[in-house]
Amino acid sequence: MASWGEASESRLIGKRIPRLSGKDKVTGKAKYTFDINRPGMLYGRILRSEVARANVVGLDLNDAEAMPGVRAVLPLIEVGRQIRYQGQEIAAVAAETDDIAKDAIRRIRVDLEELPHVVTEEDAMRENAPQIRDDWAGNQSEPNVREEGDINAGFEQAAVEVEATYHTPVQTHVCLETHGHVAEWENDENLIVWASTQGVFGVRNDLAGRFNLPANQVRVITEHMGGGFGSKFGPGVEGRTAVELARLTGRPVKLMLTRKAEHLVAGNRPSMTQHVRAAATSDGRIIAYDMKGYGTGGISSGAGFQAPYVYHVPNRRAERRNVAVNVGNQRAMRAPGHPQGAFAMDSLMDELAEKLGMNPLEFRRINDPSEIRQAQYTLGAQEIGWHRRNSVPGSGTGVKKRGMGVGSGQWGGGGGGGTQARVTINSDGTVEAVTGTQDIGTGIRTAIAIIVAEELGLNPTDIMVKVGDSGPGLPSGGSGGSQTTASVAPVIKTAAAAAKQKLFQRVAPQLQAPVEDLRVGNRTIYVVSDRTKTIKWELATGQLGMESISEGGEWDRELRQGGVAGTQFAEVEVDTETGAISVIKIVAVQDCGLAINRLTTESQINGGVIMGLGQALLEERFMDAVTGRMLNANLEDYKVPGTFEIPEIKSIVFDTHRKVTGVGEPPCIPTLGAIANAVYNAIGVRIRELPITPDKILTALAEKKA
Amino acid sequence: MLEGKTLPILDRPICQNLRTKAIYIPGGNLQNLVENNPGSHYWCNCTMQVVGPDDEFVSPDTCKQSRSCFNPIGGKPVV
Repeated sequence: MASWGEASESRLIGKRIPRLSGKDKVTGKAKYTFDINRPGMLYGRILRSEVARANVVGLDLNDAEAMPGVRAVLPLIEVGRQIRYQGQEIAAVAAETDDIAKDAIRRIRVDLEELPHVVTEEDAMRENAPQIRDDWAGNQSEPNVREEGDINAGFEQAAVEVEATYHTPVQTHVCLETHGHVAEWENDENLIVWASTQGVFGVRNDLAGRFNLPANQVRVITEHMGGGFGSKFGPGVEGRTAVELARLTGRPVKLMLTRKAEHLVAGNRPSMTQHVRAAATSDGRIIAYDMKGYGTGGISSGAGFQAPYVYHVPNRRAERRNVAVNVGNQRAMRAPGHPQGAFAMDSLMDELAEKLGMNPLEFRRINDPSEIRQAQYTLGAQEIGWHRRNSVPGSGTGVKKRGMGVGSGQWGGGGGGGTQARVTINSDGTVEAVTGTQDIGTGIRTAIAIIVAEELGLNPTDIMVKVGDSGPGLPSGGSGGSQTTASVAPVIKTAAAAAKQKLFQRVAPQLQAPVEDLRVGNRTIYVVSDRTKTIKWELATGQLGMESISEGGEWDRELRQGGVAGTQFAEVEVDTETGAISVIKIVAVQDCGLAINRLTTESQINGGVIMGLGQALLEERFMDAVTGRMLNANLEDYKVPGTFEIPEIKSIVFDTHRKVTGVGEPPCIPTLGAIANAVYNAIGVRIRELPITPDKILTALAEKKA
Repeated sequence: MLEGKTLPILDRPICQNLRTKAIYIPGGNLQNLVENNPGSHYWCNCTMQVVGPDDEFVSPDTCKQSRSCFNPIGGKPVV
């Protein structure tokens, strides 16, 4: 049976190894799609609606087409069709310079017949609200109801009850590299596209389908990618438009979204509002849970969230609805539905524990079925110093009060089949590993090098890793669902092992030993039963002459495992005069399986914590009900964590087994609940609506005082 | 969560332009385009938007043969 071997035998796997692309990234050598400039390239821009809802009654492109330097103007909506949200595409231009393109879209005349809009959930659900989707009565989808056990019987056994409403607002992805493409037709039949995407083969297949091309005549390249978080699957309108403009002009076209467009149309995490009634028995068991909730994913569906979450609730009912508003659509965002659900559930857990007079950690121990999290609770509590927590919330003295909280999460991340890869050993001793996955910043490029180097007795820097290109025809899935490493690593390992075996077969006669007795290490192949028999790596590969060894691999499911658990503890300090919240420390204990690269795994955890902190304390999309516009579609008013907000993060790689799994998403889940509970522990007032901002703190403290 | 790749058995034709994130990632399959998931986002590969060429919303529930833009995979029901 295939295995990754024992930790004691691993020279590289599980160690902390700097990412191979680090130097290129900090020196600017790494080329992102935004950096690609092709000879004769034009610049694309899209005119977007500033109106949330309207009928298009006229569209005049003539003035834009007549501008010097404009090479193509493309309508993106037909007269007679409806605009459904601010930012919706109206028309696009391709011009010799970006400035000309910007001027040209201002010359496009669009006549709109404005219609009543709704941009908040409350307005959309109001009686007599404008009906913005014909298929959703009252702008709400049919409820999705899930029920287990008998909630009435559960509530009858209750010793305590909590009834509360929890809310998280819409969060946008804030990819630092905006969505975009550079499209170039090599002739009428071959298309090459540089895409800022999480899936080169997905984009290839979608563009082939959209433009009626054979898939093997479309090549998509993503050498480096500046953040996607779930929002970069498929080419999107901007990708289709870049390709269309390139076809119309016969020249390469670069079309990257603006920061404003990124906020408006490139996806978001849906909002969540939960009205929960829950109960626990006197011995600390959650016994009943009844939730009605809703969220908005914009004009489309997809506003799901987890409820209840993680903890065992025998009698439960959960009813969720999507609410339609005239705002850009949601897209999958790092652990879709989990952070919102975790915030509500972990807040609820603390509220129930307090009513029972129990330590919230002990209450979790009683109700959490995960053995892994049970161990993580112990480890995390020690690391944060849980004993220092206020036994009475808000009992600290002074203006600045500290508190601690805990939150939990879970995820899958076990990968799947479908990846093809080749590991090639050349006669000069060089090694290449090629596959069609993409490095979206998470470090799969380095992980591949580590796996191959471990298998072949080389160093990671000896391995030339080629990813992010559909050209070689070695497909791999999109990087989403925390599936990449668990999907790619087994294939790479088996490919490297197969290539090594072939090399052993070539040198075994020279070493006068059976292939089974050969091993490799430190750039040397040796006979395990007689270590005087050795051959240097380059001498061994030199036997290949003009040939190379090139082997594929298989996705061996024994090398991976799905299902991870995580726990985080937060310590915060709240200034009770200003309402300012400082997160002092986060301890993130994250179940990881086998961490191929401990350094980038820690980096993943750090990134998840920072994103969770942003959702807990800073990020919120503000919509103006009157104009239907987003008020903070920039990075000045839409605040994400910076160096001043990021606390000490203790990332603990909780590797309990030697099988690969994914951790891209799970570390952003428990942070929200941990911080919210820490704030409550600090000031004794619960904030049930994220983000927890100074104004909410001061209002809550004033209400408590009153 | 999605586990290993399984071959779906589709009991009705699905439009080749219907998209959702789950079909792009390893372990995902076309079954995600058969059952409507209220937590998922759907779009059309023809328009790249949440409405199809006929300006109606797309989803496994709504992308059916009765729509003028319906374009089944392979031009016939997928079995």
